[in-house]
Amino acid sequence: MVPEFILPWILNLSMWIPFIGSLFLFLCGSPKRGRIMAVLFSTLSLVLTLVLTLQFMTNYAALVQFESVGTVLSESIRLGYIVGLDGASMLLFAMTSFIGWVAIITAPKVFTRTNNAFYGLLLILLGASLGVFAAQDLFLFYVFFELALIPMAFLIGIWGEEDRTTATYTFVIYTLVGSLLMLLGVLTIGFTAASLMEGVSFTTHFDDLMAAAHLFQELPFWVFGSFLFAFAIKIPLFPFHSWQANAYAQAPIPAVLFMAPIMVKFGSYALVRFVIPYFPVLFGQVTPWIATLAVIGILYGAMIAITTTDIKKILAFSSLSHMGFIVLGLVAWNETAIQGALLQMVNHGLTTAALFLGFGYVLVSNPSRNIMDHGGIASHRPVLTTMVVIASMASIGLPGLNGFVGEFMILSGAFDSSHLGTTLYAVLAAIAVILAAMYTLRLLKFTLFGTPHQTPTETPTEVLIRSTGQISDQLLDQADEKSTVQQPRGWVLSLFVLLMIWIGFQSPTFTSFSQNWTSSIIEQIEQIGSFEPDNE
Amino acid sequence: MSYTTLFALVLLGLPAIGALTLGVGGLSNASLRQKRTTFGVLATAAVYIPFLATLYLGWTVFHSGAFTVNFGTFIDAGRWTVDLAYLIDPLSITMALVITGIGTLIHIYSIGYMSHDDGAWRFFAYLNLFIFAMLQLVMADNLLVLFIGWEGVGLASYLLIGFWFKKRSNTNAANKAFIFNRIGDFAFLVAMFLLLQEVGTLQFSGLLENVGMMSQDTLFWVGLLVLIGATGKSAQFPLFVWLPDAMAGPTPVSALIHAATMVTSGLYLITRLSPMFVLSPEVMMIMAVIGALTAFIAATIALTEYDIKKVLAYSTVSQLGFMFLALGSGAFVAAIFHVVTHAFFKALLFLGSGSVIHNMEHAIEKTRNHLKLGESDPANEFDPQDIRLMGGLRHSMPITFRTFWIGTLAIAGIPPLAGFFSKDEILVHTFSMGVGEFAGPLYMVLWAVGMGTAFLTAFYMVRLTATTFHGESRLDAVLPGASSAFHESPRTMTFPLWKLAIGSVIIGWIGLPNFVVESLTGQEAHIHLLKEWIYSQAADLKVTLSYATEWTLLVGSIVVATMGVFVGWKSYGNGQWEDTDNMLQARLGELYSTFRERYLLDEFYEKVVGQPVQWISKNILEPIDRIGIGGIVTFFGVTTRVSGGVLRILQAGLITNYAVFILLGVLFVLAIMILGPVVGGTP
Repeated sequence: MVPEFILPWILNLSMWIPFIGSLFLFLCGSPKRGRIMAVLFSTLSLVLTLVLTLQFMTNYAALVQFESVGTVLSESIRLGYIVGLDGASMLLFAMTSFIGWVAIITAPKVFTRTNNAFYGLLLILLGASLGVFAAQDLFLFYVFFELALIPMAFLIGIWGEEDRTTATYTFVIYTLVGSLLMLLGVLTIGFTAASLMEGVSFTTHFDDLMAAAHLFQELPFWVFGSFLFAFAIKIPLFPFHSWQANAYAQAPIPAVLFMAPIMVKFGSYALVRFVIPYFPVLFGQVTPWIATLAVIGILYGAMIAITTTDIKKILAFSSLSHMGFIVLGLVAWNETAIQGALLQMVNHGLTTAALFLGFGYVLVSNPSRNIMDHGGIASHRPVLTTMVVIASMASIGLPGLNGFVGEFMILSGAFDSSHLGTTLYAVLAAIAVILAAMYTLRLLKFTLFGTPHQTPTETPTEVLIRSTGQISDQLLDQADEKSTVQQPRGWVLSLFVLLMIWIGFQSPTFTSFSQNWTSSIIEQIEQIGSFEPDNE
Repeated sequence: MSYTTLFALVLLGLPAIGALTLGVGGLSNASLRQKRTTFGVLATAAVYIPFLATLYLGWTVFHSGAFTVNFGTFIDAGRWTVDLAYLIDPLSITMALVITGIGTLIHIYSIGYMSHDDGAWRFFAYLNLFIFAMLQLVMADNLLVLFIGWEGVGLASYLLIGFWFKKRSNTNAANKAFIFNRIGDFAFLVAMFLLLQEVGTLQFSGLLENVGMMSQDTLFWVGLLVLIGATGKSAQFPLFVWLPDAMAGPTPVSALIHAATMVTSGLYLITRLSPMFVLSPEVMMIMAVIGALTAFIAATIALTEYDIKKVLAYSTVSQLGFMFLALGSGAFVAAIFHVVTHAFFKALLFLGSGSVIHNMEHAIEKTRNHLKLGESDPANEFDPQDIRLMGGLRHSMPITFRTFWIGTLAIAGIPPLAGFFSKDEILVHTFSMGVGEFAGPLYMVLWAVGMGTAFLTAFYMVRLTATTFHGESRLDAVLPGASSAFHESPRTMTFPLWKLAIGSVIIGWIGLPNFVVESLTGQEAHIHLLKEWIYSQAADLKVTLSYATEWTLLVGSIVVATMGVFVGWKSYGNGQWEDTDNMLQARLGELYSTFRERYLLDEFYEKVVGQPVQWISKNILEPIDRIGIGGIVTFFGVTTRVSGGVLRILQAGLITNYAVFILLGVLFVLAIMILGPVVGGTP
């Protein structure tokens, strides 16, 4: 369909167009046209990504469809700009592009204080996130991984809500501590791997590292630990999650649309992409611990969400719970569970993004994050209500929608996993299907249903007193701006809903992306001779 | 594409298309929503055409046997795959006929019932969604596709219970239904994991072929877990508490979802897996005990209820209990038989109650307006569903009155109406188990409980009917002249009543007891048509009773049912509900209040599950999260903020510059990485 030689160009362009766009916005964007330019650039990037995705679908069988392109620093230092997409990253790349595009086009509807800098930062975030998934070099991965942190820090720190400063610091410092340690890990394995190759003193190319994986097993534990720690924070794995709830709560919705659906996937993607493949022996040793933490996270997040009253925090704890499933799927490490986890990364991205966007629409007209201050949205906004209900059902794991497929594969894989060795993890994790229904339906009950909270029995003054007591100046600012903000109806969410139903009924279309990659990585790891082969 | 595939596609797809069209249509255009009748007619067509398709498919199955339709892979997990496949055999056709047939009638009824409701567009979209999901459930060829339907009907039920979402209690009821169902679903999920691990397939034929290879432990656990799943969905003890609350939905919903179809899906599932269940007698025994217990408990509660829909709801729970008793006694055909007959008379009764409620609402509102009562008048609090305010409705709504009596006699088990045949068959099987070797005495007790419950059923149903329709209008006493506003419901509502009434009379004849003919002619008889039709899917345990015993049981059933109706009529026939209930209360004392308080099950769950979960969440986990885990990080955050002072720069408003600096820095690094080789000169 598309000539081979163009593909690398398309890949590079789809990654770099957002960066170019942000440069335009910072340097010469006129304030009026900022939004149009941002939409233009992100749309262009999305279109190119779709071309790549469709191209990938024409030949699932190929292991790596977009040959790594780019170049390394020098012969002896094999570190450089190498990008490519394979079964593990293609869908995540596409998901990032799609959600990033949605975040940018809907930004003025869910957030009133947008300007060129805001859009510019979103575009950098988009480019960096795409880079994380496209990188075929560990060092490059690290650069993009860190780069994504910077615009996010600004987005929360400047445009966030009342408690933004603490949230920013917790978020930045926590993540930085993790990733700086990881840098030491990256350097160590870079030098170690180079010892295998003649005339090379340092390499971080994924292929080189994979070839040298058997050497890493003898490295001191902290090397592996540094990777694990960094990504445990990013995912977040219980108990490293404390940056999460407040960061989600304080960040403006367009930024949350990057943070919750996309950036947490950096961690889980890294786990399956290189942490487990590079350190299978060590990982095998900590498997019971990680699985335990994952299950605790699943139940703990769900339990807290049951009484949380902050809308965004409920979604944050729900996210903690759902990411636990993905980690559980990865540590179970058989084809069913890994495939489920890879699919669930995309699923979680879609549902979380849809929910945050949906509630973003709700919060823009009534900025209180307390569920008790909402109600009756279903009466006057049926489209939004319908979409949010469907997204919630996907999040609960209703079969026929995307979330179920991933969850079912993960849990049945974990139930049957010889690495976990017991069915207990899967059974305990499955309790979350009950808890998820409890907190999600509670959220819907107080926000969508019931009567509109500002009932006619309250006088306008009472309403004013009550609301100003909570939000102060910000509310007044937004009340002024509200006249210019048209209340969105929420049809954008139907794109998510369509994808949810598509994945829900036709999951092989999506699991085929990673099928070959998964079986090959399982094989490679068995060759390293660390894991006992799974009884399949 | 062959005709059969095409018709299967129509059957499975049209309700979904209906739901989608109505939903998107209603959402996209507010003025379109006012065309309520159009929505209703379209929705009805989306169920009626599948009904015709089912008839065709049934004909095909009758002639050329069962077949499957496969629409590709649903989940490909490497080790196992599950297809989006549907099984078209006598059992699924039987269920589909009930669903689409009674579904059509209830859709027609709803056109009238919802003609004044602004949400009619949503209502019909949800109803079609329900039919779609329910058909997925019964047509599925494997457990996972069945599970799509299983949870799909849960969603539709959730949406329809909470249909009038402005009232918080409705949403609470909807949530309760969903969450209680989820408890069962959890067990169901684990059962599927276990089956995948042990057998490696979820396809029915694959599973049932391999039951011989499964260990006794696996059989027991899978059976128990599936049973728990069915307990949730089919409202059995101890998970039935959601069903009475589910009556918060519009009445047609109660008739279709919470009486005729959805709640029977647990039974369907167990019947589908019956060859597996019969190998695990312990599970069968537990099932029978749960069934008998549920039947009895619900019947006693129904005895003390005053809400017309709640009585019917508990009666549904009780009848579902009978069906579980049937399953537990190995009478799978009888269970499905009772599903079919119950679908007719319970739908009839619910629709009849809807007609009554409609009438009451109208009369209360009209009289209130007529008397010009103010907002604060107690008349605003009158509950149109309270039978204590009814009475004497037989004059003003003759069709509802007559059909309601037919339904009452059918459920009471008066021959030759439908309920008699199915209920009798169940009790015969239980008795047969009672003289059997495994847990005989226990089954005998269950049989006695079943007989007692059959009596109670007749009794409380006559209580309901007599109190509603006979005696004098009691609404007049509190709202003078209200009875003059009574009227019969419109044609769209009475037409389904008649159809269902006819069904309630004759549908039992598809399952005439074979032994009657056999004992007379001495030859093997085949007059139990349903058994002939679905026997290959529902492997009944043989009844080992002499003809004399069977005759005795048959006569016993008739006597018990007739007694129930007779005693009921003597006690309530003249509108003397108050005296009789007081008398019962005095006689039963504490027991009566236990019934009245619904065995305190709701309070039990609230105290033992609901509150502790909330308490742990709020008072243990939340503080741990905030102080324990969050505290460490906040400490870092705060100290850095104090020492660093970066904050000031952040707020200085020079963000654009900073962002550019960072961007340039990153570009610089990347440029080195990309251009390094070029500059350095190495190839």
